Amino acid sequence: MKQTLIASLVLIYTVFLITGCKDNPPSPSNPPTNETELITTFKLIFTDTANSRVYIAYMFDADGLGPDNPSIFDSITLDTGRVYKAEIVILDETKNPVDSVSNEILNEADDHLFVFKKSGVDLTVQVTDKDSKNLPLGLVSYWTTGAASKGTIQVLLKHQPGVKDGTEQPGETDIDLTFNCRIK
Amino acid sequence: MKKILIIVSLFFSLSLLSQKSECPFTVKGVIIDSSTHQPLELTNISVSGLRNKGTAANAKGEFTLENICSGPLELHISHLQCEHIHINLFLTRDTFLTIYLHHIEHEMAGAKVIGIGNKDESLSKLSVKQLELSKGQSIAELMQNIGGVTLLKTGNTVAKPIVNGLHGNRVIILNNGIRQEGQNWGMEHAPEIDAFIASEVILLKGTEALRYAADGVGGILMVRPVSVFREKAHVLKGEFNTGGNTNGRSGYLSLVLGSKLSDKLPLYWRVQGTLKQGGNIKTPGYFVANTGVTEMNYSGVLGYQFKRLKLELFHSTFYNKIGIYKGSHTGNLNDLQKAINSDTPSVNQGFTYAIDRPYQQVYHRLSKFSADWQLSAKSKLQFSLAYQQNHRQEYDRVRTTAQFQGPDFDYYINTWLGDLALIKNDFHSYNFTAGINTTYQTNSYTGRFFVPGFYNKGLGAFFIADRQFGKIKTDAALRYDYKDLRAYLWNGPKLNVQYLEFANFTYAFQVGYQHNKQLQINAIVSSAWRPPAPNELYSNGLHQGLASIEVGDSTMVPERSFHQGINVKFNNKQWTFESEVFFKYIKGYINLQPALPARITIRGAFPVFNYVQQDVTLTGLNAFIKREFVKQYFIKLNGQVLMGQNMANSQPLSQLPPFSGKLTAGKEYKKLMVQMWYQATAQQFRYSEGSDYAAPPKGYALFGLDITYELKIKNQPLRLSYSINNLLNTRYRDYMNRFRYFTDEQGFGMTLKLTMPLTITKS
Repeated sequence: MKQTLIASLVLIYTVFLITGCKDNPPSPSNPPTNETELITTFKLIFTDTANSRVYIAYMFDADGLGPDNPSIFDSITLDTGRVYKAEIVILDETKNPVDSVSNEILNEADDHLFVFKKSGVDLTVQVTDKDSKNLPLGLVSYWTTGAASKGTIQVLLKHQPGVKDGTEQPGETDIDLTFNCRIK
Repeated sequence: MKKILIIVSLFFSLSLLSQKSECPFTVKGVIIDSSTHQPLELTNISVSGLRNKGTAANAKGEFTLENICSGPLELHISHLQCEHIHINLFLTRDTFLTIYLHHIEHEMAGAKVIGIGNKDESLSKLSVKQLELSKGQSIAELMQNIGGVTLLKTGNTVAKPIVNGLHGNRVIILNNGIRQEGQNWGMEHAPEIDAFIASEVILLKGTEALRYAADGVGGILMVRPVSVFREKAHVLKGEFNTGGNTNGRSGYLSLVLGSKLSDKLPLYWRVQGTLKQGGNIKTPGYFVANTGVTEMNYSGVLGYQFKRLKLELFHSTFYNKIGIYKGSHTGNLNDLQKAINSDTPSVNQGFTYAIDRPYQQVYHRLSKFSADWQLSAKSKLQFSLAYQQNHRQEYDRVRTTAQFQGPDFDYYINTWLGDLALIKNDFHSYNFTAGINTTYQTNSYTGRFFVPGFYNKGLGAFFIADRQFGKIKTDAALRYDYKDLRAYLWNGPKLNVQYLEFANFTYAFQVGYQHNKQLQINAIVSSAWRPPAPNELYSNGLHQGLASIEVGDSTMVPERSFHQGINVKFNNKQWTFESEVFFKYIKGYINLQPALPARITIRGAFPVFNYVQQDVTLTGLNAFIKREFVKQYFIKLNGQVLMGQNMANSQPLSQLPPFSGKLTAGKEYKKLMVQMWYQATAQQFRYSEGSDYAAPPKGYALFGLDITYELKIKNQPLRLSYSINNLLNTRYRDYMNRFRYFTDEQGFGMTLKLTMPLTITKS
């Protein structure tokens, strides 16, 4: 009787010890496996509505939020007195196949808003696409250029799950890029 | 815990046999400490089977039991909280006993708390009363009742101890004799220990700290459970605890049970478990979104005593999931600034227990085997082998899209620790402890990079000795440590292996002067060192909670501290006083400093903070004074002051706790204790400009109330306690809370707790 009791106690204890070892950690020397969401690429694709000529402004940062600054960060150069259709493509090129973040944003249009802020350039930006609640989204916009000028244009992506009201204020900033912009 | 081991009893006939009464005899005696040959007061002597026949030894160690019957007699002798000793006699006449009690530290040598008198209160130890009042709180919240210990908080759910201004890698926590190994570097990483396991919490600062580690620059906080070898046969002993807090609508359940298998079989066991759950915390104005907590822990210990050999197997598992206030994960610096400038939280939520992203989840498991071999009355050998596994997952706020569900950070740190020590007391008038500590550690991760994968080995050898010269006691300790670190740094597909080695000495020297029973003065000089931690060397990434990028420096060298301190203790019937003053010089103190330019990422600009080494000083005072009046009234004042200076730029050291004090007054009846407290914390004016996003918050004062009541229902003892925190629902923010930018601190809350000691007698 007593032996059984001891045996069962020791057994329970062994179970404790074994269950304590169930996690299987990766090796310290393993290469990193970052499955988290990363944005490496931001493209603004401009199509001149008059002649369908395409111009792309490109930003590329291989490690996203990591230590290195973007390796490519284009300036936007547009012609005077034109109307451009601007489409945004956002990619995670660390994934295979390449992950289209902009398609995800389109799927979650009700939670997102792109905001364009200009400084010093003669330009107006009109967001044309809408979410299911008829609030602006911004993956597609029309840019009307004025006279020759130089300045910056800031593109913000606001993540506003449940709080989107069409303004910039609520939610958090997911993208904040300031492009040098020139109209000539 | 001291354990009484050896009893020598001598019989002396004192008077002639008397036949007149059936119980005519008197048993007199004296209790003497065999190592110091000093009488032991406050030893309880009782006669087995006779309830009222009991007495306590007086200041000279003497006791008298009168009207004792002839025949067999069993005496129970117990000193303070130690276990009972049985002496069996056959009485035929008046008897005089000389009882020698030998004190041997049971679990840890060098862990003795130098205290005088019988007062429970001390700067470096949590009192039993305080431990009881703090039931249901986290281990760090328990520790803040020790002098010089404050909290570094992240919101209201994550707290880690700061010892005299130092925290993280500079403060070592010993859990059940084993060094706690997790991702200690993180400011938002709380110690993964079940607070219900603690029966003692002690801060080691002197020579005894060198028994465990070299790198306890700030100090070593020791958390100890009751020894399993104190369990008894035929009785199932334990304690049941439950309670709740209105703020956060939190509750806990905790149960511990233990026994000895039988008289013949010296197999001891104890099991323990804790459950905790809490929801959103309420500040005076609003609920703080996503601040729920869930905690589940269990532990089991088996002890086997084979003559002079004690073997122990221990396992504990700790799990918790802690919600992090959503608004603290800001998008970029602009968002952070907006949050700081706003008076109201950016994310609003009512009350809920549900925990959403962002949150952290930790599993911490500890398995330990230890052996204690009592070689002789004065020497023993201690051995322990432990394995610890810490798996921490951090889930950040959902980013651009809700597609990714997993954790952003997933860290695994595994540690094997081996420990061997020889303790010899009374060896040519010296007591000494010598031994080695070994460590082997691996760290790996998946998810975003912050700290690299690494292997880490350590070997330390220590020698600690003390000797008494009349009223003066001297302690000296020397330690040598070797450590290495092999880190794996990936840059895309390229691997860069960094290998570093460190070795150096640690020492401490202490002199204590015991003027009389009331006054004791201790002085200490010590030096410790700490190699730079992997995060300080190699981290390079975004610290989500602070919207800042932290950059390590792989060329850093170990930091070394030089500590001097004086401690004065005084106590008499009315007064208890203790104060310590210290000065610390730290060479090559590793600290984060703001750096330019800001880093451009797709999410905008983030400020960069670099790890740099500078020489700094820390000067501080911790003190308490207590006055007890007739009729059990008491009043107590605690206070601490700390000043840090960066010698490199002649600026004050930032992120240090400001001056704070606490006044407690109350009355202790036999079974009822009532106390009111008032706690004041000043604004921190000493900080260096540009090191912070916002000026330190204003000072604040809080009121609170505690009542404990002991009662019995059908022979079942119960202890009820009722507390009120932040009685006036004061709105405030604390400088040492990293969420001071975002939300107010916890408002009014009431807690009700029940403790039920269990004694189930088995036939």
